This record gives sequence, structure tokens and C-alpha cells, in this order.
Amino acid sequence: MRRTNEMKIFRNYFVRLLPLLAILGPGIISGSVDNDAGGIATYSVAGANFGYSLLWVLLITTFCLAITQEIGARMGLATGKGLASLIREKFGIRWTAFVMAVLLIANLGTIAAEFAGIAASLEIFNISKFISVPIAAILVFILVTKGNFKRLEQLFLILSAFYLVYIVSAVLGHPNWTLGIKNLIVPDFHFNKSYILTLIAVIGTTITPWGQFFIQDYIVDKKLSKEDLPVERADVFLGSFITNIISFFIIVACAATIFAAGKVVTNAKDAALALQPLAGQFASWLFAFGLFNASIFGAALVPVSTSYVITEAFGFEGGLDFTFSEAKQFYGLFAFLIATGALFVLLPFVPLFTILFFTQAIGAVLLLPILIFVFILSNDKKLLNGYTNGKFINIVVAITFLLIASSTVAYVISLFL
Amino acid sequence: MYLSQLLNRPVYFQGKPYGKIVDMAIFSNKALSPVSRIEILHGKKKVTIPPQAIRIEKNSITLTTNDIPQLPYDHNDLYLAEDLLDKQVIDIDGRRLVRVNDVVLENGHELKVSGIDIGFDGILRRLGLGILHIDKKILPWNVIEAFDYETGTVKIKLKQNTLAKMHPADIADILEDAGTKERLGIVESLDAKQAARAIEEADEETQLSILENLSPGVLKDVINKMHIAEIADVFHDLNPLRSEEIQKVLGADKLQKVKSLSAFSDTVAGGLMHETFFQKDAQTTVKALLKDLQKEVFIPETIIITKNNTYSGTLQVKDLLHADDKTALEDTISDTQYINEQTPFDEIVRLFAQYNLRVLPVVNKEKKPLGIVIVDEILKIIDEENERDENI
Repeated sequence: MRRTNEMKIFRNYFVRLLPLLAILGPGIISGSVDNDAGGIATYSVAGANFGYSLLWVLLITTFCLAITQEIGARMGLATGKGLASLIREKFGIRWTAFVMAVLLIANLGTIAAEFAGIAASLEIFNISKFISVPIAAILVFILVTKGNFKRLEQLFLILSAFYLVYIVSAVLGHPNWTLGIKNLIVPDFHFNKSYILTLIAVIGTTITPWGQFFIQDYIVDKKLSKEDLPVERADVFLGSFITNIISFFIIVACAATIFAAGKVVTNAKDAALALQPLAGQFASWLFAFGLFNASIFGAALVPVSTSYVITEAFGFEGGLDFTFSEAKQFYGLFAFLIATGALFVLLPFVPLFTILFFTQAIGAVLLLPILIFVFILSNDKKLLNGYTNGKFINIVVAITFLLIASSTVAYVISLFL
Repeated sequence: MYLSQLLNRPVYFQGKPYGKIVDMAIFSNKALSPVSRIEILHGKKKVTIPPQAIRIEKNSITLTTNDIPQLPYDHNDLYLAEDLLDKQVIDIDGRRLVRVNDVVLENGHELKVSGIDIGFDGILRRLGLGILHIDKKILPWNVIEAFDYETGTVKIKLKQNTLAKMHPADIADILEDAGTKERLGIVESLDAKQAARAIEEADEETQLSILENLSPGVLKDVINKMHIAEIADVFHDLNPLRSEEIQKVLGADKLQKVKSLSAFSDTVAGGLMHETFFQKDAQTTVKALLKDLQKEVFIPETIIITKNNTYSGTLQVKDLLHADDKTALEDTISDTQYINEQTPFDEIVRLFAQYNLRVLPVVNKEKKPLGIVIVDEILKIIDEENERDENI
């Protein structure tokens, strides 16, 4: 439909000024995808194995996520260029190749996690991963290259309303709210290796290397002006908070049910128990549906965005608007990412939940070098001309970096104790 | 020879290491540009020397004199490593933005830049994997427009005026892909009229981004060359903070027109019409019309014929070729269709298709002509809609 004049005026005065109406903005998309297969698995493990004791990490990462996403949005608005382009132009080809290698490894992990999510959700229906994963890989490839990606994106976003069931289930599960709120504010640190690893995974599944590139590319694609910054800021903040409110309830739901029952999570069936207060015997079906939706969405979006970023960095044509012959590298890379991610899941003797969980922790460590580049670029006066980081933002980036770095060091030390 | 093979190479003077090459510059205005200066890092100091002062051989680079004439920094020079390497440039022939992976140099009796490497080959060479050769793609230097990154605002550096020769629609494609500063740099390098045409051809997001970011001086020139109907199309989408400035620049007269046009949506004729058209009285002879037309810079395709200022029909200028000099225009009328400001889009499309028209006059209640709707405008909207449908 063509836009009518009334709608134009509406868009002008309301959408641009009222952030709430821009609710389906890039911040929200980026945020929802953070609760992908790896996210659900990691938060489930966090709540089920450690109760409420990791909630304080979630509170800190909420701010870290909001701020790092804001930096991406701001750099995109100010320069009209993606993060990969900025790294290439400022640091040259060698550093670009390094960052792209880091991103490729991190994203391959994320993609493997998405396929592990697909496999885990369908295992609940007794479908073997050797059937589900190859079919899903081919399906994702066809959906993205032949289908209509924007429409799919909207469908998945609507389906991600599934996460609301965690809020209901958490409430029905009679959690220990006092302890939950207390642990949200007061850190409850345990010096043992599995606690620290889960802590790293929680950060890594919330703030991701690919999310940092994605938000900036998305903003650039929308060609927003500097005047739009307040609205976009509100969008990414809102996206970050909504995402982590959901993460909060996943952890609480798991803490109230699985942790309270003294069980641990090792597969999707265990994790589904968190939905029992709401769905009873249908809990595992409901969980399977939610995990499947999140995984398929991630399995489509992450390879597309990775291929886009890497072709952007090396100066090849990239994007779904191009045909196969116009953008060989883009589609070749896309096929490679899906195939490799899927194959990884098919390795025998690697439990699906192990893939889902460990890839998130690895992602956190790989975020460290990327944060350094983001930090330098976002303080570049010549590049951003009045849109550089404020002091507060720099402090939050430093905290993010130190939190991941010190936890990683602590984990390594804990291995020898 | 490639720039990447010279950068960071040691320079020797009388057998002893003197420093290493960090950058070189060219004069901006020549098609096959000789290198004008070479920057050498000598200790911690940057020394800028003319290329004649060093000899580049296969295995070594030597300084030929110890009497080095120090060259000052020249703002007009394009620095190859600083401004060109890893940056995007405009490929005039390919009508797109490309990224510079390496710079191709010719080392005859003079060191010259002959092209840029945009292939994977260049990337591998710079990563130290130069033995592998895949996908060699070199663009000759004379089809390149590079940007100047020296100042805060990014400008077109090599004004070879090749951009000006491009079709506005091709420039629009480049504007859509460029970064914010590059986009503004391109617009500012064009003359106001070309810039206006290119902006009009770009998609709506790009139009808004340009109008909202141009400096007030350039904005004034460009916006005054844009068609009122095109400004009206994006007027309501402009950021309120910037639309005030644009209103000021437009002036009261044009602003009134923009507002009246944008009051209609582009779903009815009133929102689509152009207010400039060529109108003649029915009694005018063909001879008189031809004489008038000769004075026009742009010959219209279609003439609106009126009788006592009420619409009676249109005539195609091409039909005048066969018309007798003395014929009155009312006898040359080829079409009598018309629409009013509220005629819906679908009806306009139907009329254009059914009667094979290029132009439809818009009239008021008294049948006085107000403007014309041109078929190009209709095609543009249909095209945009198709694109939108694909993307939703």
C-alpha cells in the first residue's frame, strides 16, 4: 500500500519523536536475537545450576549491552558506514583480516549453536539430529536466498512473543523473589570453575561480536541522520532492557523449578521443566517450539550478517539484493557458514547442550579484541566529529572489557585449583 | 609495481639504512599522475622528498643525494597510503563504489600512478600471500574519483569532472551506497543543478539523509534547483529540526507551493502533478507556436490547449511536423483526457495505459489547467512499490 498523507504526518511527528512507536527497530531485533538458541540454553543452565546467584551479572551486562549497542548505532549514524568499513579504513588490511578471522570463528560458533538448538528442539519429538540438521540447513539456505527475508524477519519477531511464557511460568513457579532481587543487586560470586564458565557464557550470549556489527549495519542501511540519534538511542536501550528482562525471567523460572528441585540441566528436556508451572505436561512441547523458532531465526540471520560484514570488509559486493553471479563471494560464504555450522553439530559424541553453552563462552572471549577496536574508533574525533563517546560510556566499555577479561583469567586459574 | 611493495621498505644512503617509505603523494589533477613527493620516516621524523632524490631498484631503494630538498606539506596533494589505500573510490566506468586494495605504480623514468587494484589479488599481496594469484582486477587511474580525507569533511579530491558526465541516475546509485561524508562530498562537488537531478533520482532515505545533512549554503543552491514536486514528496518526512531550516531556504513563495503539493498524498493527482507546463490558446497558429517554442531551452513534449483559459485538449509537439503553418492549434488537438486534483492513482494509471499518453493535464472545477502529471512519475512510483513489496 502507498502511504497516505495522514500516515506521512503521523510518521513525522510521532515515530520520530516517540521512541515507543519505533518499537520494532534495530535495537529490538538485535535484542531478540540475543535470546537465541545459545541464549535460552545458557540462561537455563545459569538458573538451573546456580539458582539466582548469577542475576547480578545479568544486571551489569544489561548496561554493557545497552551502551555497546548505543555506540554501534551512534557510529553508524555519524559515519554512514559499517563497523567493518571503519576498521578497514582506519587500521588497514592486516588488522581487518585479523578482526574478520576473530568474527568468523565467533560467528561459526554462534551458527553451530543455532543448529544445535534446532537439533535439540526436535530431539524432544524424537527426531534424530542426523535428519533434522541437514534438512534445516537446506531449508535455511533456500528461505534466505529464494524467499523473502524481510517478511520472515517479521514472522520470527512475532513468534518470539513466545518468551512471554517464561514470565508467566516464573510467576506461577513461586520463586524466592526476595533472594532473586537481592542477588540481582548484590554480587554473589562463587570461585569454582563451572560457576565462572557460566558467568562468562551469560555475558557472551548477551553481548556478542556479531550483534556489534549487526546494529551498525542496520542503522547504516536505514540511512538515518544525526538528528535521529535520540530515537535510535531509545530504541537500542529499550531493546537491551526488554531482552534482559526476558533473560531475567528465564533464569528465575529455571531457578524456581529445576534448581529448587535439585536437578541440573544437561539437555533440552531438562531445560523444558522450567515451563512446567505454566504448561504442565506440555512444557517440553512449548519449550521445543520456542527454541526451534529462536534457532531457525538465528541460523538464518547470523550467516547473512556475517557474510555481509566480511564482504564489506574486503570490498566485495554483498547483500541479498544481489544475484548469485553478482555476489559470488557473499553467497559462497553464506553457504560455507551454514554448512560448517551444521556439520559441527553432526560430530558424534558432542552433546548438543555442550555446543550451545560453550560457544557462548568462547564468543565472550572473542569479543575482547573487537571491543578494543570499537573503543578506539568511537573515541576518534576526526571520524565522529562531535559524536565521540562520553566519559560515562568509556567507563562502561572498560567495565565490560575488564569483566570478561578478569572472569576469563579467573576461569583459567580455577582450572588449576 | 604496487604501492604495498614500496611501503615500509628501507631506504639506504651510501650503504647505510636511512629510513623507510611511509607514504607518497601525487598531484591531484592529472590523468596519469606522476608521484610528486615521497614521505620517509627518518628516525622519528617524517622527511618529505621529491621522487628524483631516490632510486628504486628491484632489490634496494637508495637515496641518491645527501642534499635533500625538504618539501612542505601541500594540501592539494593526494596521499596514496593516507587518502587512497583501504578507502572507497568511485569507479566511473562501473558506476559504483569500490575499495582500494592496492595502488598500481609504473616505474619508468618517472614514478607514476597508473591504476588501483580492487581484486582479491591485492588483498592477498598485502597480507603477505602475494605468491597466490586469484581474481586480478585493476582499474585504470583515469576512471577513478578519489576522496580527500585530510579535513573533517570528506571532499572529492580529483576533480577530473568525470562525475559530471555521469547520468544522474548513476550518481544516485553511488549516493545510496556511500557513507555520510562521502555522500555530501559528492553532492558538493557537483554543480547545484546536477546535484539536484541526482538527489531526485535517489531513494527516499538517501534524499532525506542528504537534505538533512547538507551545509546551509549548499542546501540553498541545491534545493532551489530541485523540482517542487520532488521536495513535496519528502517534505513531511524531513526531521522537524531540519525542516525549519529548509523552509527558510526555500523562501515563502516556493514553500507555499511545496506545502500545497504535499497536502495531497501521492495517491491522488494533486500530489503528483508538476505546476510548470506549456499552455497556448486554441486560436494560436502552428507557425506562432513553433516560433515561441524555438525560444525555449527545454522543448516540452506536450502543449496544453485552452480556450478562454478553459482546457480543451493537448497536442503532441511531434505532430506539428506534419501540420500546416496556418492551422489553428484547436485543429491539431490529439487528446482531450484530463483529470482533477482528487483523481486517484489507479484511475490515472488506467488513463495513461488506455490512451497511450505521456502527459495528463490536471484541471480545476472551472476546467482551468493547474498542472500536469507525467508518465515518468507514475512509473517511478510503480517501480518503488514493486521494490517495497519485494522487501516487506
